[in-house]
Amino acid sequence: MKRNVILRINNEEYTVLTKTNRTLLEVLREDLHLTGTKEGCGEGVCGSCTVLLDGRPVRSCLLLVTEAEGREIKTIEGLAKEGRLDPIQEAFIEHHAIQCGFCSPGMILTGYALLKENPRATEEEIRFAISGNICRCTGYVKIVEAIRSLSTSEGRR
Amino acid sequence: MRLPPFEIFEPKTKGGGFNLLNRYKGDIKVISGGTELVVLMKDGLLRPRYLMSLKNIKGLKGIRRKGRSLIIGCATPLEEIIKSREVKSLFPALVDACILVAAPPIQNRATIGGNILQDTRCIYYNQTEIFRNGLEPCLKGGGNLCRAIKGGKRCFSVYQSDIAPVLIAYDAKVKIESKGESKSMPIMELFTDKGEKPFTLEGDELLTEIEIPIPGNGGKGIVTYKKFRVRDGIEYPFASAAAMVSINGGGQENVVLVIGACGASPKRLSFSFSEGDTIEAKMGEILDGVDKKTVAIDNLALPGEYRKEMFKIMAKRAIKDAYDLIRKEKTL
Repeated sequence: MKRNVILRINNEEYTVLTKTNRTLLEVLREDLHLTGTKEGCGEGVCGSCTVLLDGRPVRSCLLLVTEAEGREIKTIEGLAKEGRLDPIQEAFIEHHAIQCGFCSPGMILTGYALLKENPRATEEEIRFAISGNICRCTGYVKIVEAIRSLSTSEGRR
Repeated sequence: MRLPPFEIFEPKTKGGGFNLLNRYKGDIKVISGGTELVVLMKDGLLRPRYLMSLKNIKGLKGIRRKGRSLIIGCATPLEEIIKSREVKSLFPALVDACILVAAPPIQNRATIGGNILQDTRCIYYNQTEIFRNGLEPCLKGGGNLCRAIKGGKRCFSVYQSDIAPVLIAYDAKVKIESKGESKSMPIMELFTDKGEKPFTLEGDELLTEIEIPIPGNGGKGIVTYKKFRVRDGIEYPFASAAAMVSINGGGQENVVLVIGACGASPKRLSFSFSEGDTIEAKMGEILDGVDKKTVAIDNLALPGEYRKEMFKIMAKRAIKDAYDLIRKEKTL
């Protein structure tokens, strides 16, 4: 069964005619071509598909598109403004926190949400926040350093 | 992985929801956080014709006081429980258990009702359709055989909620509602202890509330929770234990232990001993009890024999932590 689903993504409204048995991830990538959000495991384990729902990181591979209606969705495409990267994106580049890049959209959005809620996040808090995002390249150290570089807590680098 | 087809309803009232559950009983599943249901549907383990979303129904979310109890709505996300000061001060072990469920992005969506009613698991059952294709369906899949144990006559799938053992230790009750009916029962009565169908809940019933009694003055017990997993942030418990320790005025000590991931339901054991006995002296008896009441076979990612030992270790650690907290409170 198809129906119109109204989604608010990166401050823009989209009306998508879609079958209801689809996830937000499928609609983002296939219908709206917002391919920055990645599909890894497809079952909620890896965190590649992380998007922000009302400011909080969630798995878009486990979220029915109809359940995302009426909520504020932010994807990696929504971070840069007027052609300038967000400071957290800059920090990931500067700290070499990106290697293959597959986990980066999810990692960056998770870090972004954490710092919005807790600008003084400690290393422990950062590690807990990203504990649901798997990276197979970096060993996490550079990712933690990148997020930590924007935290105003003591010991800031 | 794609979802099978279904039709979704989004009722605006509880009554509307109960009507739908009643009309499509057996063909309908409830979705709230969706963090388990969507996975089971993607794997083709569930193919409901209809889904009913709880997102528009008011009154199923939130934490409130009612007399001498704390009420948590079934659709309350774990994240809200973790951040609640009231829960943290009244039932700290519940917060500990919620933090140990998966990772924050899951806690942001997963609900307490969904966590309690999560299905039992087995590595031979929770697999993709490609894996299961060509194999005879097992007992849990509606067939007649067990793939975990050759010749097994029953299903050995494992119930792995982190939250249920803690709620049992806190003596929580659940409210079950359906069209025109409402009942309240101890959370333990939710379980059938059968892997094939782990819950006593019928298809037209909804678990709407969790009610946790607030301990009275003087009778306060300390609850702790310990979880064993290999990869933090990802795994369900391979073994877990909640302990409730209380010492009454006469010096009588009561220990309630709830072991998780040890069969199709959590196992509750209780011990009490009088003045003169020490917990150290009683530990052997307690651990023997744990050993007798728990089952673990090779149907999760770690061997059954290993998990069997871990039940005892988790139990010991949970009890020790509870006693340490009691001693700390006494010296304060």
